[in-house]
Parts: sequence; structure tokens; C-alpha cells
Amino acid sequence: MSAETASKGRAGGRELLDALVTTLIAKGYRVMGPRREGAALQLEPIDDVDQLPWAVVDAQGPGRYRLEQYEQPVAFAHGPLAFSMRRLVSPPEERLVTLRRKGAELAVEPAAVHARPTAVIGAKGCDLRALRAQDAVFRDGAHPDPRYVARREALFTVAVACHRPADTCFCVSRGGDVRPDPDDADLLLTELVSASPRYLLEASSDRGREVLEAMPGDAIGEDDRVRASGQDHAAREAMVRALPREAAQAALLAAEETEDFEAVAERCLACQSCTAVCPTCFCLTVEEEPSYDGQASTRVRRRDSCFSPDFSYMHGGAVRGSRAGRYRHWMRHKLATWSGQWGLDGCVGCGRCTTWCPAGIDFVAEATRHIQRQEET
Amino acid sequence: MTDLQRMLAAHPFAASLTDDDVARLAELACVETFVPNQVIYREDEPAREFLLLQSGRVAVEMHAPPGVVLLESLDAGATVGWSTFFPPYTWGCDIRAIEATEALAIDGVRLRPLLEQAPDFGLRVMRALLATVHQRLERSRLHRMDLYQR
Amino acid sequence: MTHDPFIPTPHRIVEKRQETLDTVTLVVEPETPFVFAPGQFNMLYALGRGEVPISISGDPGEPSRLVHTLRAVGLVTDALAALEVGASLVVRGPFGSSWPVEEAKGHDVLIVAGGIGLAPLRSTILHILRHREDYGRLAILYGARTDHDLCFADDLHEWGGRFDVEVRVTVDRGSPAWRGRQGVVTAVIDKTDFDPARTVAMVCGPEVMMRHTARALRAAGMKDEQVYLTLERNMKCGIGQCGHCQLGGELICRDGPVYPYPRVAPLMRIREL
Repeated sequence: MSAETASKGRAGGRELLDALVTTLIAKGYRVMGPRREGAALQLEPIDDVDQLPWAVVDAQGPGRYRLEQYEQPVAFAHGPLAFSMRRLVSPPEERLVTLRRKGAELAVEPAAVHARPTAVIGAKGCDLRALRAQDAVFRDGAHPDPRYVARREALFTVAVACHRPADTCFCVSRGGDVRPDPDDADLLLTELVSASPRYLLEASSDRGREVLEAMPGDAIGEDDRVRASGQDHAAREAMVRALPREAAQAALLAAEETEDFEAVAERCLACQSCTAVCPTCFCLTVEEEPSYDGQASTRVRRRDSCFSPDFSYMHGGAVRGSRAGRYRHWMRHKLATWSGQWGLDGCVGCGRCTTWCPAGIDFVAEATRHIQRQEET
Repeated sequence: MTDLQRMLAAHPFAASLTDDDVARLAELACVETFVPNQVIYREDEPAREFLLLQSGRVAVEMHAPPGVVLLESLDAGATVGWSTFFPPYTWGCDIRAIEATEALAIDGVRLRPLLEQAPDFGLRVMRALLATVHQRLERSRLHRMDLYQR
Repeated sequence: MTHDPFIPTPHRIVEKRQETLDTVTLVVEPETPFVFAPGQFNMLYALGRGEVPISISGDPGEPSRLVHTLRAVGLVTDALAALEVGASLVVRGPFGSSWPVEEAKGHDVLIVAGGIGLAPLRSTILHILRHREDYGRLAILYGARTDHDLCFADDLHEWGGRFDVEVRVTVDRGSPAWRGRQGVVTAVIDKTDFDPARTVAMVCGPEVMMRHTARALRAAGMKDEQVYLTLERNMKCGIGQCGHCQLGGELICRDGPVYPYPRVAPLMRIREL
């Protein structure tokens, strides 16, 4: 770390978080952070740090999610939230354009692009890496999507280092880390866990530095860094799950036949929960909303899922008519074919697909079965 | 006679073959079993053997997205895998087991040179093959008539 | 602001030709020249029904006329086929890869088309005829369901009348009046005069037809590397963002639809991919 960046850091107690929220709101951002909503932690608007999930943690497992009391009064001890930041940049539904009949011709009325400046506090490394995946699809290709680009630019991220990964987490094996890559965020927050937690805040972008400069706080000390790095190390050690990238890719590339997926398809409900919570999933459809008189129609882009039989429909039927075919597509896309399409990985190791699967299908265990079979042959 | 020879001799393919021919083919044969839904041969893969079906049922299929077209089903007594005999020695369609199926698989890679080396034997095997091709082509023409269309 | 790839442009239809009972050609004259490469496609829109990918079937050397040929097989294409002269044709594009007309220079070109598959190849044929001296022999093999299902019949007659094009038409099922060939298109390959060593084949039709054409070309001495074909899948965007057109790792709208055969041959064999 450069001396200059270090000088931009701030350290302090809970009041540092207070100052962060106040500063971001003053700069015009809608601030969002983890917040208890019913039985789960969700990414929700906040205007007060009291709304953060203090001393609340999640217990995650295949098809299982519970909130529990935590022994330390900290706000970021939880694992991945039910939904990632994906919906902030790629909403489940949005209008694209309206076509209207004007005599014999059709007039084109593009929908306005809305992008509300939003700051997310507590963005995890996995979700930030997933944004890179979304960027590759909607921003960095030959046809950038202006709606996405506007929302992405309006998104300010305060990353947080994970000190207590969920049991379903496996980001390290996917090339990620409990400590997010500073380049993926504007600010990087470290929560040093104790009865009176201490917070470290560092800037990694120009707008991050602007926010930091407007905030009070101590300088980050050497002992802070030692504690942070010890905490990182312990968190990495605690993450026992792994799905190695190369091995998974090779095994899934080899698993070409639907027969290889018939067993898991017996359990899969094709309910689309996994694709709904996956932070890298990007698939969309465009649907019509015609006016009552048939003189106009609005084209609405909606999130779509490869688990829907209609997804692969072409004249004559669905290409992936069986659930085994659809499960194969999903798993091979995430682990094997994505990198060839977009130059990065399709699975960041957040484990949401496993937690939120109502049938309790364990994505890592299923993929590992393919790796083992590949090793046997 | 070995078991393999007996099985072979009982198959319609061997109807006009001599005992010696059967013995020769039996040298190249082994019994194979297939589970229901198993894809036995896949289009474009190398055609190294052909099958004399003993029991069960297989489908001759063509992968035609979005779907698969069942062209014909074949039962015990059928000869499957003509591509073994002709260049480019790759399968022209898919063969899938519909039911649990047992067949005698005859090694076409080793058989091909034998047909050249022993022309009498070669002629009889080719006649047997032509008889099944002829029968299936006639059936196929009739099939193509779509006789029950309204 | 970035150009919005989802905003289409309406063009007035100036000409409509009924190719067959269910197939029409629609011609529009864009205000600014519509530059495209042969084999590329556009997303065409029908009010209240949606969009479908349709190949451009016109002459790339005549960008003032944008031509599409489509078959009415569903909700959207039914509505498009019903559009009349004067109506708006709403277009986004062009998208996708193109036929290897540069690579094929100096080579013989073998065009093999089935049914509506002649549409994306028509733009290639027109391109080659416009630059005839750049290419060797040109053969067009075309198969259709019946003699009433032949698209571009006038074009086929014209091309067949030239001394520098070989045209062979065959139908699966001829009417009693049909005096032409009856049979599958692969059957006419070995009747055609081409040098397998210096030929580029461009193939478009149903996948089974394309696979078996490639098989027949292999038997005729060509290598898979000399064969190009075009694929079709469900598409919602045309720009690789909706995920619908995936075939294994291929995003057909972005990486295709025209491919060198070896790149997609292994994928085309896998069911439900």
C-alpha cells in the first residue's frame, strides 16, 4: 500500500460508520446496507447505523437460512445477503421503448433512463467480483447498455472484509478473497471484532477519497493493520468449502450429456431460485405490454432464467426440453463455458444457489461429483 | 459349436452364411448389453462395429433441434450399424436403446480386410448385408408414403 | 449518451414479394445506407408481438435497399408476413458474423441451401456475382420441401441461365407436374463439378441437413475446415446480453450465426445443448 493511500485512511469506533452514512447522504446518495427484513438480511435503504444488523448473524446451509444472535456487537458478521447488488444495476424489470401506431407507420419512443445515485455499505468481495461479470456483459462489450452504464456509474460501493464467512461460502477457491480487491470498490471497510468494534476505512477511488476527506477519524495504525490481517487469515482458514476453478471447468466441459445430470434433475424443481439469487446471472427476456387498443406497445426487459422451458424455445419446441438439460446448461455455464464468453469466471463462490435452493441441492457437492468422476476416468 | 456361434447362427443375418462363415464372424463377436436410454452410437463418431440384435429394442434417431426424431425402431433379429462397412466409417445417425437390449457386436475394423482377403466369404457377408439394406429400404419407402394421412 | 442498442428504427416498406405460400420478401429503403455483411441478421419487430432474428437477404453492394425474406411460422413472423407496402418495418441491427466472402476469394464456392436457408445465402450469392472475377466456380445447390416451396424462383432461373453459375435444385416431394430432381440435397453434391481442394462451402438449412451436407462434403474429399454454416436459436437481444441463444459456450447472435463448421460440429451433436 502506498504511503499516500495510507494517509487517506480513517479509523474509529461506531461513530466512524455514523459519519460515513451521514457523509454519503449529504453527498446525495441513497445509502443501502444489510438490514433485517423479516427472517433474512437484505440489502435495504438505511439512514442510521442502528438499522444495521448488530449482533445478528446468519446460519446458511443447503436449503437452509436462519438468523441467530451473535456474541459480539458487530454489524458485518453475516454471510452473503439473500440478494446481491445485481438488482441495483440490472433491475428485475424495466421499460426500454414504446412503439406507437401513427397512421400507417410506427413511431419509436425510447423510455427515459433512470439512475439514482446509490451507495452500498458492506459490499462483499464476491458481490463486487460479480459486478465485474455484469460489467463484462452490459458495459464492456461492443454494445454497452446505456441503462446499465448509467446505474453502474451511479453506484458507490463501500466494500467490507468478511471476518465470518457463511458455511456455504467458497470464494477463495474461485480466485476471490475475504478481503475484497480495493479496485472493485470506492471505499474498503474493515470491522475489527471485539466488544467495542473498531472500523478502518480506506479509499481506492477518487470519489472514495472525496468522501473520506469529508470525514473525521484517526489515522489507521500499524496495530490496526496487524489485527486486520490476522482476522483475514482466520476467515480464510474458516472457509472450508472449495470448488477449484480449473478442475471444475475441465470436469464440466467433459460432462456433455444430459444423462450426467439426470440424478440432480430428479431433485431440481426448476423453480429458478438459484438464478434469481445468483449475482452473476444476467439472462434477460424482452416482453410486450400492448395498450388496451392495440395501437401501442411497450417493450419491457425482464430477468429470465435458463430453468424455464420457454427460455430455449424455437419454432417447433424447446431446445432444452428436459430438466436435466436445463440443469446441465446452468452448471456448465457457471463453471465451464462462461470464461470463454466473457473472459472471467461465472461463479464467484457466494453459495447463494445452495442456500436458497428449496430442494437443498448443494452446488459445490454436485460439481464435486463431476470432478471426482473426471478424476476416476 | 460355441455359444457365440449358436447365437450368431440363429440370427437372420446368418441365414445364408455357411458354418465356416459363422465361425469366422464369431471370432470377431462379443455379447454387449445396453440399458434403457443408453446412446449406443452417436452420429459422426467412428463406426467400428455392427450389431446383431438378440433381444430388446433400439431406436434409430436423428438429433434435430429443438428435438429428436425417431426414424425407426428395431427389434431382435435386426442388423444395426451399416456405416461400419462404408467410408467414412462414421455413424450417420444416433442409435439408442429403448429397452434393455442384448446384441452380438461384430468388430468391423477387423472384418473389413477379411472381406477382401476371402472374396467368397466377403460376397456372402455382403449379400447378407444387402438383404437387410434392401428390406429396410423397401420398408422406408412405404413408411415415406405416410399411408394413414387423411 | 451511449447509443442504445435496444432502440429500433422504422423503415417504410416499398416492395413486397410473395415467395411461396408462407414466405415473403420485404424491401425497405433506409434514409441512410444500411451497411451490412452477407450472413448478418436484424431483429425485426411486430407491434405488440415482439422481435425475431431475420437474415438480410439483399445485396450488400446495394445498401440503399434493405431486404429480408421470412417465413410465417409463429406469432411474430405471421404478423411480419402480413405487413403491406407502406407499413413500417421496425429494425434493429445488423448483428452477428458473416459468410467468409474474403477468405473465399480465389476459391470455388459451393452454396448449399435448404428451404428458407437460401435467404442468408442470397446476399452472399449477390455479393459473389457482383465481384464475379474474384472467385472461381460457383455452384448453388438448393433443396426445398416441394416445388411450390422454392424461394427466389426468379433468381434461381436467372442464376441458372448464366454460364458462370451451376444451379441444382431438388425437392423432397415434387408435384405431379415437377420435372426437376426429387430427393435430398446431399444427393446432388457428387453430381456437382467442384475441386474439393480449392472449394469453400457455405451451408444453410435445418441442422440435420447441414450436418449431413458436411458429411457428404467430407465424403467428396473436402475438409470440415472448408465448410461454413449458420445456426439459429431463440434470440431476444442480438447482442449477446440475453443469454437465450447459447449453444454450449457459443453466443450465436454474437459469435455466430455464421461459423466455421469445426468450431460448432461437436456442439451440434449434443442433445438439448
